[in-house]
Amino acid sequence: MNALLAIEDYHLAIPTFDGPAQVLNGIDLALDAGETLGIVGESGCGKTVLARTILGIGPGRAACTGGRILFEGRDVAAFSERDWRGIRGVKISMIFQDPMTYLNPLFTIGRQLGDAIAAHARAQGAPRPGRAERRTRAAELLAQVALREPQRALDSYPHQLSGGMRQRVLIALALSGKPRLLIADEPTTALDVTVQAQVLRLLRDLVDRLRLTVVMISHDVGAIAALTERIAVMYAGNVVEEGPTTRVLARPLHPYTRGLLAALPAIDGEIRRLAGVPGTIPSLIDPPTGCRFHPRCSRATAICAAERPAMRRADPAHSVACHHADLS
Amino acid sequence: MPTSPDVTPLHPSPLLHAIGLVKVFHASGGREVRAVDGVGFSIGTGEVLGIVGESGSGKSTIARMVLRLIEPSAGRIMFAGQDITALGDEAMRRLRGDMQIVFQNPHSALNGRRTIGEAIAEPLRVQTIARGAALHARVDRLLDLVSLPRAFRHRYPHELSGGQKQRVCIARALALEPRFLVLDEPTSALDVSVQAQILDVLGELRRELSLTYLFISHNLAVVRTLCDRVLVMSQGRVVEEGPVAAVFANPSQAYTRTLLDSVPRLPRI
Amino acid sequence: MALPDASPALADAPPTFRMRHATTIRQWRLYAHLFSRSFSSMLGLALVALFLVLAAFGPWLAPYPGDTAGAVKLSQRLLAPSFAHPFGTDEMGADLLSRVIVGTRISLWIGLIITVVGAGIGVPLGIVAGYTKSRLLRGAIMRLTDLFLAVPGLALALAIVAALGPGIANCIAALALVWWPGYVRLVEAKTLSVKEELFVEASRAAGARTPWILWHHILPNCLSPIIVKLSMDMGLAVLSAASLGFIGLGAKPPDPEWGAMISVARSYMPDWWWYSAFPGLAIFLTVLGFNLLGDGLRDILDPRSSGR
Repeated sequence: MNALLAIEDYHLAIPTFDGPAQVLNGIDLALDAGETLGIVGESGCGKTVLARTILGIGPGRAACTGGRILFEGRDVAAFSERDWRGIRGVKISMIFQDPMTYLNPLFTIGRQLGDAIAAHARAQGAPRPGRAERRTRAAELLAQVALREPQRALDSYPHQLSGGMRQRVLIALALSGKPRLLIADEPTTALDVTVQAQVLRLLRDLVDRLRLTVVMISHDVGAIAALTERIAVMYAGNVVEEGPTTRVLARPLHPYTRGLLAALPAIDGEIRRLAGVPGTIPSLIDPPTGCRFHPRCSRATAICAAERPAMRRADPAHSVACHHADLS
Repeated sequence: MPTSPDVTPLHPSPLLHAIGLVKVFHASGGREVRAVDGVGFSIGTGEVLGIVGESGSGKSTIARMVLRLIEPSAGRIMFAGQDITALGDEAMRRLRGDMQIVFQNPHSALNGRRTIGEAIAEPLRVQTIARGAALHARVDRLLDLVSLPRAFRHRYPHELSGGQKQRVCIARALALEPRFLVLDEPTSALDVSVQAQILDVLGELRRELSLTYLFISHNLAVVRTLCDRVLVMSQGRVVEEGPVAAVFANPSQAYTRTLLDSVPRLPRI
Repeated sequence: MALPDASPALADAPPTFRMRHATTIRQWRLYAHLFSRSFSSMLGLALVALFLVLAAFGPWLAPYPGDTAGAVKLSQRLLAPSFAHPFGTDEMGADLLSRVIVGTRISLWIGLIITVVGAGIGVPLGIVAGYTKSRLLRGAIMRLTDLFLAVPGLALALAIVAALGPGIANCIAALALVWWPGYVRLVEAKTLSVKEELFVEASRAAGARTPWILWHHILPNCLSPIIVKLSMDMGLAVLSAASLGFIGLGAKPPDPEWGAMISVARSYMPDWWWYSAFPGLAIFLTVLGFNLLGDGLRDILDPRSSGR
């Protein structure tokens, strides 16, 4: 069957004064309906640009320099602004890191949810729902995201809610169009750890209940592990490893994935010295040849600087882009 | 158990001893917000005390009060046996060489219009400790200390990565050869692999230069990695205090347990 | 505590000028690149450059330098533009092109002095008002600023000149006196935001005194908007000085000042149109040039563009 979302050898460059920055360098990812995929990587790896490009809201001057992104089998590059209106917030929804920025401070939550509901009705050619109906539906949406006292929240302004409540409202907004794909860009990063745990539980619950298809972007491996079944590790514009979350975390094959996990301080078990990954992320304007990770890699040899490693399968579901990965 | 002002410090001669600290902010509309409400603690020489809490717990306010970057509304701060709460501006200014701070956000902690070399040299210049060739050499040594290339002195902050900027901030804080460093969430704006590097640098420096740290963080796992003792705060008060191993293995307060349970855990490797 | 000694292995060769200033060089190349991409910015730069050249070398460039000091050649009164007199001549028979060229220096001087004195008063006041913890001091400075802003600047300058008596010096003094409030507003707002930055707190934590912080941290970060405003204000100041000259309170004929020239030329409209048109055009182009330049500077000095 066709994947819901397929990214095929996608390249993206952003022109800068010093030359084009190759922010995405041949991304291959596919997602079937009902799957949950986590994209993990550090700042500058291209994960956020990728998420936004899927939704057609990537950086303005960026240019695709190869490959394509297919949503429901259609190339998103060919979508007109009119097509996008039927897709953004309807078929693909997004939740963001900082909920305050994406809520209009001048309108009540009820008004903003109501507007979204009316917009979805219009997109489907249905008659505009009346005020009472919009309010009922909005309350349902808030109940769905387990917001306490949804009626009171409907009459509140965004600043009257806590960070966690705002994120719940944003999730409700994202779900209002019954999207086929939900993109969550660092949905818990700005939240306190206790609230973060609640929001992750909520998302997990919604995924199970509504059979959502989710792409979650985060720098936090722990948050990704709590929500997604599959994980893709990105480094400097490449996917370096991809596979079932539990397997990748238990048996990381790429040296970068290993370094990333070794850098994580643990909350229990033995207190150990953190290893970290030596060096810094490379410039994307003049990236390293071959494997982009090789200057920081302890296992690098001549071939790593000469040749870009292809994705190789360790088993049918788990693949890695490293010349020296132990696939046995 | 909240520490009250009259609790005897754990250390017979603590380097820093805070007693009954209170900070009241006046919000708009005449409302009073007690950001810090009667907090006391002491840090022994060479010790790392962690303060952990969620946003609004008052931990950053404490970081600044300890250095008198903001004035406490009540309470006393003893540093090396001296009450610094009542020190005049000039005496406090001279004392600043002994106690320094590294901030959370290295991007805003460096002036974008000054080079890295100027940033690191600034404390030495304002305290008129070194100038000319001696100043140049000191900056070189400080760059070595945080493992940055010496040529970085000519760079501007926007050319550096977050981790490199934080190393510059650490070098600047060490320029006056302080005994005591306040680390206000020094890694929370950084990626995890960079965080590991910075925590490593901080650990090394502590051993090499026998420094004492007050480490503020919202990240429990990071506190566990670096600190000897930990203070758990909530809404301006101390909820729990004790050695890191004991508090993390066996929290006595429900709030601490909730905090610990909220940290996502990776599948066992 | 003692810092470990630097290992000699890490000591590197003294860097060249190019290496030491690589960032600055790249930054200026970036500015040049961004600036040159905009037609209007380049037009502004060209106009300003043209007038600067005219101001610097006017007396040598003018075809009839003698005409600027009030020479009377009644046989050549009010000649229409021709090859000999591209801008025509005035009622005394003086070459208008020469008078417009030489007038550039006067106008630019007036504009420069007004804006620099205005900024010289306004910027320190703005920094103090923005940085001080004393609500009284801040309130006093800002209320005084409001007071000046509440009265139209030109009207106030008029009153001052009327009291001091007409003349170029008084005109400059009057305009400079009403010019500073804009800078106070601008710099105070910028200072309020810059002083919250962590690097200011870090500087304080290192024991820096207030004057050090103001000079090394606050002022450099206020500089971009000040430069933009200086450029925009140059045009406005030239226009204001010409206005005062026009109503007879500034420069007096036969000084070749554009406003004063138009003032006389007014009575020769519309038959001898060139007499007022060319000085007017000079004012127009100066104001336009400085405004376009200021616009262009604002675009490239915008902090959001500095990271590119």
